[in-house]
Amino acid sequence: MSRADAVGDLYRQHATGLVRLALVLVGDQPSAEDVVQEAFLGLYRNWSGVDDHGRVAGYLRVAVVNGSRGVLRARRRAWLRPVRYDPPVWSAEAAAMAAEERRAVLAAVARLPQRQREVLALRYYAELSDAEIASVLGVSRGTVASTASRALGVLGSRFKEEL
Amino acid sequence: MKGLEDQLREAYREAADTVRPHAIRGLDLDPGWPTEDTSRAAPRRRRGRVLVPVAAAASVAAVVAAAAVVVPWLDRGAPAHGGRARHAPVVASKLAALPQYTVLNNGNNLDVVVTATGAVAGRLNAPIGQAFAAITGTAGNRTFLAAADLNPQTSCQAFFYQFSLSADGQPSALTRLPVRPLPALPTALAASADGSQVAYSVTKCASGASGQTGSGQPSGSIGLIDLATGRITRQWSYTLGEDYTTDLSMSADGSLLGYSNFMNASLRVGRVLAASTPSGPDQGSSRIVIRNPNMTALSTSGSLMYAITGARDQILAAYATASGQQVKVLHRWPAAAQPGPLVLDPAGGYALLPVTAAPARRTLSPFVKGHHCLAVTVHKTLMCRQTTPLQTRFISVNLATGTLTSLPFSQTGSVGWGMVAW
Repeated sequence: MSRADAVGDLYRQHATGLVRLALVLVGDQPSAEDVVQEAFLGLYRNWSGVDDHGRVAGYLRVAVVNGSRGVLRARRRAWLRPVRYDPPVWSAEAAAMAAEERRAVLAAVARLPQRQREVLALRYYAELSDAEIASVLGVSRGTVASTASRALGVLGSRFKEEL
Repeated sequence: MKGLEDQLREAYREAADTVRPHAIRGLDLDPGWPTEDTSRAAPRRRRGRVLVPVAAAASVAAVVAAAAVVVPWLDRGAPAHGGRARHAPVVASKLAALPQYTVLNNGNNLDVVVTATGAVAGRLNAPIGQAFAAITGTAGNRTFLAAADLNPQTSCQAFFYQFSLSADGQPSALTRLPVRPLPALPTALAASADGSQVAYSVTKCASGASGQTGSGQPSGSIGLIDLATGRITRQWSYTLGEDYTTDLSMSADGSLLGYSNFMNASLRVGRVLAASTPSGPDQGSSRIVIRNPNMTALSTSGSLMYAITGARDQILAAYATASGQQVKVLHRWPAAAQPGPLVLDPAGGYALLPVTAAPARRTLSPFVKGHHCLAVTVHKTLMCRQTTPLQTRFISVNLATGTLTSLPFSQTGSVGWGMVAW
């Protein structure tokens, strides 16, 4: 099987899940698709360096987290680069999510610092264990636990205030 | 807390379910890519993007149906500098007092703009396979520094460069600073007036096959480069849970750094950090000057921190770094304007401030195949939604008087940190 075929097969297997993961991190589908495309391009270009093909899914997940950071970083410093993006899926403007309550939850998450957002998405969307999250983010398991705890505390207090 | 965790799961799931598998575009491996593995790739190109519309915006009494129409949308990007002299005539003498050149970072290149006329005097391309992430100027308005990262971001590396301008604004070739590339992403850059001290902020990539970072706990750090030796003389790591900064600034003598970042999830602070402070966590090494600034910039003497604050109206004011006391309010913008980033003239007299106008206006018109727009269905009719691009104008602020002067150039889109320098 050629490299392109192998990567193409992986894309068919994993693209939906990875685009969804990127979406909850960056907020809009076009940006999420860009992130996933870049992740697969990276895999394609570095195919010969992948020594354990059984770990490719993990490689791609890390690449998606990194790519999402890149998107968010570029937005944060705004975009003199020719990049536009849609309103985040949890904004009122996007109207893609039906439930106002769930939209509000994600909008509150979007106001958290980057690492807290990543930990919450990997824990409550990707359903990774703290050890797996620690591996993806390159931090200790204790850091994951404390970061999640801090984020949940802030979200809890914000919702209490709003109620 | 269980209730909140369940709410999070449901919210993520609903957001994720808006992605329909059949609507994801196919993998584009791009036959133009080299067949051999190499870390030096072709310059980044934005692919023709396929936009999958979600739903039309709801109107007060209208029933709006979601559509799943795939429409080609060419991301043509913003022109580097959309305008020439779009604003009211300005007094030439006011412009003459400003730095002669303004450098704008377009990512793939830097444009040298004549401040007084808006004309582009020169252009400098990023090294192949890299994009400029941040730029900063030094006294005299002739020597600039730039941080770059890989483009596309196949792994994390931060590179640092220097270049100079000739009298007529032509940039020299880039000179790589004698510092090894850092395994991180640059987020901000600042320099002393003579350019001998360079401060940077970086954030780490996630670890694993695509990243090259270690497993350190902090998410990044601020560092100091001594150009004479090419050594990184200090590194202050962001404390756990803290966010990185994008508005790093430095006093003219290089003795003091100013920046703002989130110290926790709910509090952003403006800080000063003595460059002589031993390496360590930045929270323990720095001192808080102001709470909840949107952006900051240190004065050349280091005695003042200029900051823009406000949730709605935006206020530019000066604060004493020693006491945190507000010294002077320089200007107030209405809520619709988005000023920033704040860039100080290395000579200390003026601030350069891009101001982005109110949010773009959206219009709906009947959809015609081939139009480049977001296709939405309203009342079962396919419509084309177009958005007026954001416009950013540039102003200078006299830091002694608060007087504003409109500069004769503008920009399509907003302007972020590290994207403009004097």
